[in-house]
Amino acid sequence: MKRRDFLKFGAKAGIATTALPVMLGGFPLRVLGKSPLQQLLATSATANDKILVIVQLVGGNDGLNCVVPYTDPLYKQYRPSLGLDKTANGLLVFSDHDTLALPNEMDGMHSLYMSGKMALMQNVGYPNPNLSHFRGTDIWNTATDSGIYSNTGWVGRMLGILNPDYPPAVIPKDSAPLALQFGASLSNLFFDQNGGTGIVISQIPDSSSASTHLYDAIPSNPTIAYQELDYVRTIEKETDVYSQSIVDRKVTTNKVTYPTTGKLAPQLSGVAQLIASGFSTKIYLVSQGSYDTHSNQKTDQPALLGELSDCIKAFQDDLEAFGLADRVALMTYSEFGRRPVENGSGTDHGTAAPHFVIGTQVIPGIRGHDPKLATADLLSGNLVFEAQHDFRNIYASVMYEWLLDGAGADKDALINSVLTASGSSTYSSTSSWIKLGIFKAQSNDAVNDQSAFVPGLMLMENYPNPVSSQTTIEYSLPATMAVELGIFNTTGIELERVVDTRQDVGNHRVTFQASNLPSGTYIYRLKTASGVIAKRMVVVK
Amino acid sequence: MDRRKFLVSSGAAIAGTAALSPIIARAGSSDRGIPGYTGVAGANPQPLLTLSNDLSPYTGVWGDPQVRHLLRRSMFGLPYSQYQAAIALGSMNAVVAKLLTPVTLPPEPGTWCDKLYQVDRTITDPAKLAIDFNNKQRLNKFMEQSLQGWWFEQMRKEELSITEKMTLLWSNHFVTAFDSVKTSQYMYTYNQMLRKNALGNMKTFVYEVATDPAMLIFLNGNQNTYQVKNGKIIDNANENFARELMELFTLGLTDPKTGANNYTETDIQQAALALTGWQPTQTAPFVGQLNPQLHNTNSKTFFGQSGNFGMQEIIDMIFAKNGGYNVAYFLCQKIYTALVYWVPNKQVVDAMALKLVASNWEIKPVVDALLKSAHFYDANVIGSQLKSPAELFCSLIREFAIDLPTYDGGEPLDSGKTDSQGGTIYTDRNPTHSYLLLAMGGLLGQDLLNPPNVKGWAGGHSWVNTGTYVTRKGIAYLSVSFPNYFNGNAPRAKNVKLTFDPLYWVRLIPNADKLTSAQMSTALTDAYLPFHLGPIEGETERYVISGGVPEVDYYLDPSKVAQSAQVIATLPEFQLV
Repeated sequence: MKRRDFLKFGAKAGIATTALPVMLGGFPLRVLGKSPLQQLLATSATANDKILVIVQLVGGNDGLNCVVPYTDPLYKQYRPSLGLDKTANGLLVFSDHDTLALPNEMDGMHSLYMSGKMALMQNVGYPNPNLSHFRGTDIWNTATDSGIYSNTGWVGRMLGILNPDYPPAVIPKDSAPLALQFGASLSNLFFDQNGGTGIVISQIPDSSSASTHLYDAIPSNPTIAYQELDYVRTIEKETDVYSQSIVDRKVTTNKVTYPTTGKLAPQLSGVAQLIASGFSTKIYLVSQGSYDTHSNQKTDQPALLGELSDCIKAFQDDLEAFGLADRVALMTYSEFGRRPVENGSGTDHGTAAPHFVIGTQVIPGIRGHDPKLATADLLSGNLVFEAQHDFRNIYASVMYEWLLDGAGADKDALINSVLTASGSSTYSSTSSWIKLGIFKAQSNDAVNDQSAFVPGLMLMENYPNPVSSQTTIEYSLPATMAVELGIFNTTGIELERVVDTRQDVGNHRVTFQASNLPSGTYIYRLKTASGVIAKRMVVVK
Repeated sequence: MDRRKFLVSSGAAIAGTAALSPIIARAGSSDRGIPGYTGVAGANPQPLLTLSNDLSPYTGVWGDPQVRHLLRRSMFGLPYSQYQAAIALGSMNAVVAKLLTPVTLPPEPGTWCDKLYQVDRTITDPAKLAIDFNNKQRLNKFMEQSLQGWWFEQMRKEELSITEKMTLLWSNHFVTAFDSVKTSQYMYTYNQMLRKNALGNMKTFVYEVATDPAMLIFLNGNQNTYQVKNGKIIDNANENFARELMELFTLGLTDPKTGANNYTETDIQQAALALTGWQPTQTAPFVGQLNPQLHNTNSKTFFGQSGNFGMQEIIDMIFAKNGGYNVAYFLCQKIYTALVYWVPNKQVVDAMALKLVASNWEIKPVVDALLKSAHFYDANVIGSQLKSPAELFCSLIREFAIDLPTYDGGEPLDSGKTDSQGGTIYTDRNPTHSYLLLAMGGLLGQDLLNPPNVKGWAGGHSWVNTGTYVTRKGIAYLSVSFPNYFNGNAPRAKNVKLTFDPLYWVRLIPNADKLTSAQMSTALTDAYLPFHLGPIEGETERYVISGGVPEVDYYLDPSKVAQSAQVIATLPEFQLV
């Protein structure tokens, strides 16, 4: 559009409401030098289509009244007014582990456990725990040793390595963000050294209108003030593109009914809608709280846990009804647990606590020992975490066994660059993270049969995925060469040849019509003289 | 009126307009529990380094950009008349002196502030008692919201003074929230206490905060008790306030120079014992009082010293830590990030901290030096802060001379109707204020008197994100429309009235009728944006105000002027100050 035309247009509509191209002025490129490791990971590790939904329990959830050691006499002694009783409070006992129970309000999650979809990680924590809400939250988000400070989050660092060019100078029209958070401002969980890797929304938008301003370029060698102006323009651009993208594609109805009260239900039902819409977004963050029950815990905490449990159950049922449950796992975290000894009407800040990992691909069960409540086992009156259950081992396992499954031998290197050190930043003195075996073995490594890394040969995630009618497949070639792009079923039979010709060096994009394929999992494979890469796509009708 | 319903409908009203699009917050303005908790507003944030990274005085040109910068940072938006008043004062010293002159505290919004809403104990009929209880609760909730409007009025009507800016700053430091306090009279008392101490003595301030009724409730100080009954010890030590007193209100977690922890978990537990027994009064004046029956008089060991410490001793010892430097540094960091840039410059904060200690905890000399420093007027600083929602709304209303209905601080009107439980249905006296305040809280994340958590709003980049941007722009767009969008008939915002008079506004510019379109464009954008616009954006503004033909001059037409106001209010530059 010519500038003159814009001006006419602008005058007509005031500042107008129709979309203009978004590359209006000096937007920053997030890219910086890529290390060979980054290049390698960027091409090999974006393989799978797994999604992680993180539920933040804000305020510090009290573990002992959540996963209740109701048979331990010390529990009742420490909690004369708050202690829950099996009969009087209708506790829901784990039939395979009858010293522990969930509160009566958590029937939804209890049923998920009983149907083999929940792993319960006991005594999760870290050395030298910090009892501040804020520092505690930072430690969990930035995944550092207690004494190390970082501005970047573990999710941001992981996504940043996998997507070093995010966001591109011009965000393609139908892009999905790498990570998405429901909330008021972007969590540091999603930051890497180049800024945010995700976006934050407060609800699923139902309409969109893009900016029409034409801007002067940001000066070269900008002042800090101009850099901030550039930040605002970038937010404007991201808002325009992503909200349009959500509006264009979203599924508007869930398959099950969610609880009608509370703030968690709209967040989780929104996540289910976005996943069902085929968004390639890999990480979602939702939150619930406040669990900071210094007082009135007897009423407040069961209500919160009941809401949590009902919402998670509905979410899981919804995903199963959409046929997407095998791609999604959900995990809880909170900045700390609370003190075993009550303060009269509540509990003060504490340390280790249980957390949940939920999904059809989770290996179910209770991991770790029951909380050790004897005075000699406590440290300054607080629970001691179980070494195996350093929260970063859970992160490492979630990455290794779930998010990065299919990334081959480079996974350890990637996990260490997220959790131990990267470039000049150190996050932990530990470099061997324990894989806890939280997830069942996945098939991605088999599907992703790239023989060896070939510079310049890349096959991207198809988009959208899952596919309802058509999907876009992008790939790039290191040289001009013969190309075959085929669609296979899971037994290896080629159903359709999408591309079968000689093509130029560089990026290519094809649209695949899936309208005559029944619902199910398929493989698309790029075959060239330089190498073969295959990935999965899901068709949902 | 039900706050939740109101929010839903006002949210929907905004969502339903074409210009204001999509990503709108759900009901429930107090996002107690939304992430962003951690306050990190951007990765790898860089402090703002300038030629002078201390409090060396500014000796450069004292011109329009400097005057405007000083006022925009010290106040909520800059009405043209106040810019002219500041110019008339002359020198930087004169303007700063005016900004720092103590103000008379505003009168209370209504006599309801003097008496707690308590159930009428003389009622014997249980059903009537329940109705009375219900009505009192509703009135209380109503007045909490009304107080937001009252506070907003203080910002909207401020004269040349930094007091309201400092009051908001401290409310985001010494945080309480009415969702927890649930007592409107205490919230009013708390807010005035902040204003009274805003430029006063830091140590006195902290003591008043620590014994403030709202604070005692918010951080469970009132439940932090110890008593001996029939020879039996009932120890209900609650550490909530003791922890935040040190972590968030005074010291911060770690020493700014060595990185060592400022205190131990034992210090927190011991301080909690020393702080036992403080209770809010039930009748005016509303203050905290020590109830000796609930106070632990045993010896406590705090920062390595032992004794029968109470509130004052604990505060004294905290302020004495490392000669006062650690407390001063932590507090000056807050002042710096509110007034200069959201990432602290350590050298400047260090200079401020030394000044605060040297001034025996008087705040005013520190702010005075900061507002006269070369650092403050550096080109990097001007335009570098993202407007908080309060700044955004006030700048919109004040700078575009938008008129609001008169605020009425009285209790809500009895509609004469009752609900199914027999409770009174009340009518809001200030629907326009309520609408603005709910948009500010529910949609943009700054719920006055009700921050998301005890650390307050994170500020900085967290204000402007993909979740808030469209609303920020959309509200601005609609507020300066002509004919007025908020005219009492806006869809789903029927009682909201914001009057924007384009010709009145544009004629605030001297000689408005004689300027060329280029001159007018420059005059307007310089007056209301912290950046001098480049050729493309300046040309757009000129084009719009001249009615679509940039080569010719303009005549003052209200709809064209309104469009040019909309250009200014929706430019990304308007989000900055």
